[in-house]
Amino acid sequence: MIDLPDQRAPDAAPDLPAPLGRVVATERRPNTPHEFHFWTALDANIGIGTIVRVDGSVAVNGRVPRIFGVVMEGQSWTDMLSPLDDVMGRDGDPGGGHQFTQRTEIRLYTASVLRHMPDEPLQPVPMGTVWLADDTDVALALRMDGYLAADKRTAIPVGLYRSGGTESPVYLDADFLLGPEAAHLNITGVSGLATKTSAVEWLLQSIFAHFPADKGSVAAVCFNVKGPDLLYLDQPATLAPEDRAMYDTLGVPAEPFKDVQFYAPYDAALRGLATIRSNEALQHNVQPLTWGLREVLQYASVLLDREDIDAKSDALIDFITDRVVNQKFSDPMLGGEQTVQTFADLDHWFRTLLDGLERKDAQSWRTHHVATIRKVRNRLVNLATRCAGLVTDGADVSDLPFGSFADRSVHVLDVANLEEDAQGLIFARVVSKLREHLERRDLGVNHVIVFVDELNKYAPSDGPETYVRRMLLDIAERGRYLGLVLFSAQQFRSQVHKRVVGNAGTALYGRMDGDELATPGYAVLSPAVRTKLSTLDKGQLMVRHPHFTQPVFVRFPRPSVLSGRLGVERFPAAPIEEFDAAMLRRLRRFDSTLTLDWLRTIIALADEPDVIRAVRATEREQPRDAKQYFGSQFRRQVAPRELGAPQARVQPLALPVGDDPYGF
Amino acid sequence: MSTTVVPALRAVDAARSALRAALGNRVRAAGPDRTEALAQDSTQLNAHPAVTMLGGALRVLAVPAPRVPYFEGFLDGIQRSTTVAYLDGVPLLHGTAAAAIRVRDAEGRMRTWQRPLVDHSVYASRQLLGDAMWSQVETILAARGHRLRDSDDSLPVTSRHPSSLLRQGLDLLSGVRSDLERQVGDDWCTAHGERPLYVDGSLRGSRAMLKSTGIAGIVKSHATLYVPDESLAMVLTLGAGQRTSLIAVLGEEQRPRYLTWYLRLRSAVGRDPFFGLVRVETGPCEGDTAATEMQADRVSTGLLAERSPIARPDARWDVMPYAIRDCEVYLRATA
Repeated sequence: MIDLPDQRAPDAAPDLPAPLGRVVATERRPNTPHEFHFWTALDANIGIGTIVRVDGSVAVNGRVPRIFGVVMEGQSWTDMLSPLDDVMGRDGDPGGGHQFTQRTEIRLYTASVLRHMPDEPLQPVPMGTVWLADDTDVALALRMDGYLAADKRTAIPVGLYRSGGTESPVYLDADFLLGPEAAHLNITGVSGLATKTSAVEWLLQSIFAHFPADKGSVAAVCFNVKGPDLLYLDQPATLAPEDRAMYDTLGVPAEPFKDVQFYAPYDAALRGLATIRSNEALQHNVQPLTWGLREVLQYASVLLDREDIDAKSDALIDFITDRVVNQKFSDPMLGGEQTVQTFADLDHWFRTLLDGLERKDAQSWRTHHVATIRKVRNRLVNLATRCAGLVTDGADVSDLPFGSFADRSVHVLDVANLEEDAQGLIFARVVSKLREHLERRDLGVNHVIVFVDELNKYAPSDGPETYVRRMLLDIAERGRYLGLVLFSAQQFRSQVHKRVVGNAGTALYGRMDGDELATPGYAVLSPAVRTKLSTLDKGQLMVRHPHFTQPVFVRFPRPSVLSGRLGVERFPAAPIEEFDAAMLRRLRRFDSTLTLDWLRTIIALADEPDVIRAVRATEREQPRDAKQYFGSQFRRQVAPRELGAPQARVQPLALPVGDDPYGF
Repeated sequence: MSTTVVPALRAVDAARSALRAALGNRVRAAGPDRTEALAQDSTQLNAHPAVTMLGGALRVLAVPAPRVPYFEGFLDGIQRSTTVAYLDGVPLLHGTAAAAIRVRDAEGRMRTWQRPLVDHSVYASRQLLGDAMWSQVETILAARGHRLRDSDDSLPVTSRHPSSLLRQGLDLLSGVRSDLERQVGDDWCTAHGERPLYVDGSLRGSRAMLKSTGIAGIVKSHATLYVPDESLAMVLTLGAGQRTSLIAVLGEEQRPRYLTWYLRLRSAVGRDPFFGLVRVETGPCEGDTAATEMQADRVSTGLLAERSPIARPDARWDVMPYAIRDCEVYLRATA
């Protein structure tokens, strides 16, 4: 083989990078202001998603144009006229006719323009040399220079752009991610690759690390709707060196979230919280989520069937909410003054009212017909049963710390084990409360990120109108003005309400299903980009952001928190226990010296509901002396004690006479 | 028109069938008909008088199957012409001639060896333009980097017919192209000595290339036949992968100037007898006939190795290796 000399220009400096390709245009395949074509060497390190720079050669208005583009399509062909030529060349034998010469082959790429510099006049991309983009080029191409400047930096790292040996950080603009310019993020991807949850965990860490101090404080509320995905955010993961390197490059600490609180309602049997995170070692930041009548009644419409509750029922519910609950209420029909604070109180109030109506043989009370009263009683009192564990009969309430949210805190609500009604109620009330507090500026933080997975279920594009979907639409359309930001995820973006995903300023795409990619929403992507989307690895995302005129592919590191699967392995859920053992486990969070014998002694004469009520009271108050506090809940009970030896001899009334046992 | 052609074709088929029925395999289909093209081709057809068959008589030899590539470089040239203008009725012909060698890299892809040689000139008859006008035109063209060549150097003026004058210029352009090819070939010999080089065309013009045993000139046209009439049928019926024995082409004093032989690259069954037939030229080898035949086998095997990929869409794909087409495409794109 003949040695060939270096074909680079003789005056080219040896340490400068070689050009990647050359722009070409033909009449049938012209370049435009938004698209251009270029060819490269066969071994060029380039692919779909690679960012390139074109240096023009002719100055316009005194400036040589520089154009940035991202590769969206690639083609290759040879000078073969017909496939038959290869058949002939190989004598019809696919394995024969060894060819010592390879046909001339072209690699022709089509790139979409990311940016023209200067912006005006906007002209078709000129012929020129194509270069692989370096760090500076990537920042300019994606218009990140505007928010990377030191004096007005609002950059949030989303991942690393990698191509041809280049590894450049890609940033989102916090003003367009958390408001006020744009807000919300939506992520799509097939299930099972852990991409969606991992990406959100990573992005939350990145936001917490980089959200500018002058923009205020930020917290996150995450709804864990399935499995254990979000239940170990406070536990560290074992990271590979390459992941740690990515954390270093992107300036995000590779550590778990520092301030995380987990919330879960009780299970239906009220023996423990309905969460997989029930391992004793992890109970320090797990709190019950329980609401009473006052908390629930305001959102009762979430649980009540709109077709079942007519205007008359609505009127009675409103009356009860406004006039009865949490205030002294008296009425001749009730026979005296009553204060309704719990579901038990409400049930008693209804019973008294209905008894009064029966006694007087009346058919209505304050214009409400007795049938309506019976119906509303049935529906409302039934709420406590339908959402047992979340809704309590009593007055004990355990809730999120509305008003005292800490900066960079995460609040995970585990609703995975709840019925759809209860999930809806939790979502509606929590989001409403967040909104109320943000409007009043007294939540404790300026921005709250609400993460909801499974939007296909909660905000479908079709199906009946639900309270949850209305809430999601409300956040998506108006939340950014308040600092209420929705991070949402789903498997099929095409099946989510258009206004929810359409209002997401930033969209992330993991590996996509082929059927999903065939839907009209993806028609704007080139076939090559769609192919890439269907084969993305774990940790790869396609990002769309208001500053990026074209989608960009990035890699992000594995989250530095324990995954749900590993979390369950390392911290197995507590086994289903006997009632007293379950109660003891809950109390031992406050005093690890408590023993089962002690508890059994205390609750020996108590009913289960009383014990649960006492445990809840202890959990709510979190007293310094839990042992004493819990015991005080049973003070009115007579404590059992062991019988000692009889103190006095018992004398029979009379002694038998003789051998007659019946004689006295 | 079709009403006249179709009966004629039927008549041809009928005649061919009748002949084949009577004479068997000696009758072969003619394949794509070249008759009309030949009728319009003014190339002189003749037989080379000064040849001698090495070994006594022409023989048919089987060429070993190729296993490895033989040729390392492929030399070809192109020429392109257009009439620039007529000056007082004298045509000014612009001609571009170029030559280059393409070599295979480790992956089997073609690269250019050194830089191609390119000549852009304008051809005109100095005699008809007159010295004053010639100087004026020469000055104007020189300012634009073009050389003015006197086409009278090729053929003396015999007619003022513009077509005749253009042919004069084309002859000279062809000579310029041959000179460039020879120059590139000579450079190869200087740089690489005996390393195998495929030259598209005859080696006759280069003394250096004829001296190198590694260099082979491959001639695709057969206007001149190098075998006596009694051996011609043997050449025309060569099978694929067969060659003739060596033929010495004699020069001054009846000494072998170079060697040549015919080689069938592809089966001509059902085609024209010249289909896939090339004539190979090499310099006269030192040593005995057996060694020379062995070298001819090596070259022939190397040529068979170049049958694939085929050089379509070039019309001469049956006799042209892909690397030579590649060289032409390269020169047309750059010159």
